[in-house]
Amino acid sequence: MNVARLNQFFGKIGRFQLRHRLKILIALIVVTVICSSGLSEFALNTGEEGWFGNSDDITLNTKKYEEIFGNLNGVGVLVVKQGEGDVFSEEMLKVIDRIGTRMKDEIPFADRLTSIINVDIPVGNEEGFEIKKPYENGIPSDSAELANARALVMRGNEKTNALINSLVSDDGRETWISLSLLPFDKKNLDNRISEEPDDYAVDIGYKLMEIIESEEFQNKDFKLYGGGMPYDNANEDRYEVPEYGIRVLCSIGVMILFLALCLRNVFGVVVPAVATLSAIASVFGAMSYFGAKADSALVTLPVVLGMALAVGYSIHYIKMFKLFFRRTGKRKESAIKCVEECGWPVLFTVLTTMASFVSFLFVNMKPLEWMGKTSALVVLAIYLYVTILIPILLSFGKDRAPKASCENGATKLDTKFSTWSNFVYKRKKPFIVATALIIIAFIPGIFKITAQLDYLTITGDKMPYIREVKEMLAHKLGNQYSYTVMISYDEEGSFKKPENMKALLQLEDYLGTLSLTKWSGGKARVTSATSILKEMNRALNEGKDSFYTVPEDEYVLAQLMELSSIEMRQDFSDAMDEDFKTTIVNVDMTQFATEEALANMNSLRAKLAELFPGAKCTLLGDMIRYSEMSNRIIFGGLKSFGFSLVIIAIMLIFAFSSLKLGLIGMIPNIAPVILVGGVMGYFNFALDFSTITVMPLVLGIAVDDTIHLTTHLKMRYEQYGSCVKAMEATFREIGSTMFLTTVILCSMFSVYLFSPMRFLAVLGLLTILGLSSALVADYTITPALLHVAKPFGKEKEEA
Amino acid sequence: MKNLFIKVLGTSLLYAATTFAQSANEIAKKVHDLPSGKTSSATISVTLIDKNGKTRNREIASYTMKDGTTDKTVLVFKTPRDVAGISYLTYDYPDKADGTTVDSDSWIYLPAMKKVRRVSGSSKDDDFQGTDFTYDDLGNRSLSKDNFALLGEEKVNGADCWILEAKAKDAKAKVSRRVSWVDKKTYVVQKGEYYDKQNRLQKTLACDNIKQVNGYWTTLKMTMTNVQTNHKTVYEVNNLKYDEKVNESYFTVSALEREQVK
Repeated sequence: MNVARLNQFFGKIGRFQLRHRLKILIALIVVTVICSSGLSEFALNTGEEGWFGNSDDITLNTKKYEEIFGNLNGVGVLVVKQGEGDVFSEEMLKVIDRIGTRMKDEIPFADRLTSIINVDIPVGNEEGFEIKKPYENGIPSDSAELANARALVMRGNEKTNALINSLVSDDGRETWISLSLLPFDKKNLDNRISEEPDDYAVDIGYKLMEIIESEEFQNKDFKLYGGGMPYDNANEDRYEVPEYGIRVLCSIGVMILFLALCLRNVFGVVVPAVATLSAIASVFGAMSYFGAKADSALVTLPVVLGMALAVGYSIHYIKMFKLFFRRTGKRKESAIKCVEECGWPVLFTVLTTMASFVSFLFVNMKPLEWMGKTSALVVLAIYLYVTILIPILLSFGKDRAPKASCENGATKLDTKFSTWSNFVYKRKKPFIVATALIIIAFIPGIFKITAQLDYLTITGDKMPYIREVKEMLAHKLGNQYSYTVMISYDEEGSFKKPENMKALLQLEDYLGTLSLTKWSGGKARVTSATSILKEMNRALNEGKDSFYTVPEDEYVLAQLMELSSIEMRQDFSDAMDEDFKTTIVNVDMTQFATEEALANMNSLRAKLAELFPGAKCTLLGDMIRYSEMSNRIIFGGLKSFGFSLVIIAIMLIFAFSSLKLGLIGMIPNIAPVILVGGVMGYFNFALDFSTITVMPLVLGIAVDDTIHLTTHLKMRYEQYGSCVKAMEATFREIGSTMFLTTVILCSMFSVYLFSPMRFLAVLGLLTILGLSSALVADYTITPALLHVAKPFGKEKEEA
Repeated sequence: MKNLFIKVLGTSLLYAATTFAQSANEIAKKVHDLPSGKTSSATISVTLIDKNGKTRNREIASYTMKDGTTDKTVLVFKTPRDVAGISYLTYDYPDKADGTTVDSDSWIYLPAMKKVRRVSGSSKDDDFQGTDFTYDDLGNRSLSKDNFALLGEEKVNGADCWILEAKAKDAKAKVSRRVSWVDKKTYVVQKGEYYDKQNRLQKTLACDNIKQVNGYWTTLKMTMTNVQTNHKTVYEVNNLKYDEKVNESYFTVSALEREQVK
């Protein structure tokens, strides 16, 4: 591909732009206003629900669950007694009752409340059995009555009482108040909640927060902890969304500061800033028109990236303009010249950057797909705004006399970069060897990279609610992650067969042996329909603990199940469907350690296949979503990176019409990626939904400088016929621009470094490391390799 | 479990009363006091329909008898196979003079265990036999539990009705408000709406096939739909006979044990 010819084409575009500059400006303003008005529809997705599409297996399985068992989500409050005593005192019971009443009355979609106040306890005696509520006649003041009620709830031990170490801790100092929710259906909606179905969970979480934090529950005698997915989502919305806003504002500040420092004129600050903000507003506005919701955790990335790239593109254009303006003093000609010289390399960098972001569409995760799509569109919009606005606006004004003091229009800094190119030329082999050694040293680190999706670890202790969750988890009943095993047979009444019920009991025992299953005291936090069957069986057999079992006789079992579905319909239907062919087991977990969780899930799947050969077994819930997300992040990340690597290599080969030059162009860009990967492995920065973006991002941005360098070099080589001279001229003309763009990019990503959210700080650190090492590579290994490989053929001087 | 399968009964004798303006309390009392037979026998068909339209049916033989002020009921499950033979015996007592309710006595017989067990503790606002009806919905809820108000008038199923609202006095009641459309001529409820603690519509009641059987107004088909979960129960009364001789020994614990009631 002949660069001179391409430049001529862009020269024509530059002349066209200037000829119709007013019409183009008006058209751009109109488009911006129309697109930006869509911002009024702008909305964020919080939580991990949005990570999966409607046709995704995870979504389909969740829908199936919800058709049978209702809403998978629920909320809860863990009450922990402080100081002396337990939760069975009159004062504490009143607090628990009041919290429960407020939850039932105030939380949208509230369905059934479970607490020690209203729990149903089947109690057997010699005559028969009674379904008792410990506080049916209100909370007593009399100490003997209080003791009786406590004895009823805490009867037996954790092995013979389903409530102990599940609803209430064995020491009586902790208890859960849980609220199940009705299906998120508009007809169950009241006027206290958002009209937007996606916001229901957040609104519910905020309501729970309001109850927990209300004045009446601020007391040194007890501590309350919220739980459940809606509560987590509200916390994200409360603490994280403002944090993202702060980062974006800081980025804007940094951008303006650096533009002012580097370009030292008002035009250089105002025009790129306006172009950037207009482009981002137009893309976000247009996407909002089409109902695309931004992901809260990744929303800042396209914005900051857009600002960073806009500054980069602007500097290339403005510096090139200045170079010619200093030389010629003619404003319009200089503006056309800057389009002519920068048009192709900037467009090419735009295409490669877009390609690297488009690669995220192959990850099969909605937030990353959104980020990839939005970033690619932002990059394109930024390019259009910058390349349309800057030459036009630069063309307004008077001509000046050329500055004779500047050699070819170059500044002192430009001349120093020119000298640097000779320095590299003379030491090209040591540079190549040193780079190779560094790469070799970092490669083993890549194989140490792990995936991490535990939100607590990723976010870090600096966020107040993360500290709160960790504190809650340290308590006996504290719980954050859970999952559900759904076992479904085709034949009605399958679970009335003793062999299937026996398999269910074996499964519960097995779940207790998994390394991540939470234990409270001596009891694994595994719940299913079997606890109700055991309670009913005991109640029907004079309350004898020896009958706290699931009957093995088929007729007795079948009748006990029917009776349970009649007498304890609501509790029983939480775990068993009406046809007795689908049942669920809920499992609480201690933590979410990604690789261990994946191992737990794989062995569980094998066990399910062994225990229930004819059934369809499905795993659901937070933990399953997280496991699946980890899986997709690892493979999707690799796929995305692989795709961007191949597509960028193809583009370079095609653009330079040379396999050699294309592959050489890839080396300085792969090197920083290896460096980043090595650092991630060696310093234990795991792959998560944020860091997964670093490698394709670094590749996509770093390649820009290589393209500028190589294109410019090829252009000057076509002019001089000497690689050394071409390199000198290239470094003189764009060396400082490359430096400035990287400094600005790094500065903008540095705003992440100071975020209290660990994953943002890590993202900033790794991106800065990648981009700065890419710049160093472009100053060292790229010219060294070009000097050695001589991809442009025989030099004129040598000939 | 008073008048288990009779939601509301009425007689033409009450017709004259409708010509006078009546207060909500008076209407509620008339609905509450609608007469029924001294004995009854019937086959009840309970069909549970889930949100996907899948149905499950249970057939129950029912016998009732008034013994002084005590209402005695025997229910025997006929189908499905696994529940066949499960029987319930219940004695319901009238409210105390101060309006408070007296707990019922109940027994259950499980053929698989060959045992009769006394059951207590079921609350009136609990589900009736695992359906969308509560014992309150099917029995005669004590008037003292609610405050009544007339919300207006409307025609339902071709009958002029009062719209009667019953607000639970107990702030913790699962159903905070019941709205019934009461036929002005017969005092039979034509349809109903039930609201949960947050005053959201929870269930709707549709009454069909309202007839006079042996001179007693009887609703032979009721459909209760939980609009929040999309689950519904159809409750149909077949072969209903009033005031015919019923074997008194049916209403004893030993009859359950001997599997005497079929």
